[in-house]
Amino acid sequence: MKRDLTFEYVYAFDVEEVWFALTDAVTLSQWLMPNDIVPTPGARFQFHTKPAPGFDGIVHCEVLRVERPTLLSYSWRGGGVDTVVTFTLRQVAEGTLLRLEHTGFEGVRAVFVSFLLGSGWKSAHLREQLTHTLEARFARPPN
Amino acid sequence: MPGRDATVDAASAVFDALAHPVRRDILRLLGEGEHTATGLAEPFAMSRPAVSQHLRILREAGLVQEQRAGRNHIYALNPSALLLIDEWLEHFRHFWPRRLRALDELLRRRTP
Repeated sequence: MKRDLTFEYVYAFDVEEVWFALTDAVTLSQWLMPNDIVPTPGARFQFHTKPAPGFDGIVHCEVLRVERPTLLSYSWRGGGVDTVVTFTLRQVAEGTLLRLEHTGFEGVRAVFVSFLLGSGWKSAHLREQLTHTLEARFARPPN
Repeated sequence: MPGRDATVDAASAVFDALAHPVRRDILRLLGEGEHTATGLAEPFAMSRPAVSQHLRILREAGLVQEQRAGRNHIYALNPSALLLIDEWLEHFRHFWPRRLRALDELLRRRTP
């Protein structure tokens, strides 16, 4: 099973306008999350969201690829996931087609371990997650 | 499905298993791929029996599974780990469409 996510959305706006909304920290924070993005390869930045048990509310990112104004890719790490988010923009008749790929979930073993051993491993949230996992594991029809 | 108590016991076995630094290191190694008991004993400069004891605790907690391959025992992380990843996938499956719609609304509001 492939564990990647892909989404597409068409905006009735120019590629440049959508690009700005992806790369300007203030604008990005208005539709995604508060952040300090700098769209330069190698730049590190963070998204800040509401903390949850097992997740400190910080997504750690590093800009991987920038092809202004059509491709932006950054790593997305936090709460036990170590993934990559890639936005691609393409001019279409109706405006701009945005394609979003969120990949890297298939590194299951490493992610599982970092999730288990990350800062949240003693947390109530992890306890809850593990309880679900164990319930599923032991859920067998009665003999 | 077992009673609630069985689940709670199982969860507490997981936390006991994670409480020991050597067992956490073993999990890290298994996160990179499967290993034999001998392969696991090497980096820790520990005796085979000592490593086997840690592996037994990890196995009983359901974190690690053991397979026989001839005379060797191969250790790997339990595939139930996949369920945790599926929960994250499920989260983002809902998160992104909502955010992409929010971007649309924002672009429309910004245009006079």
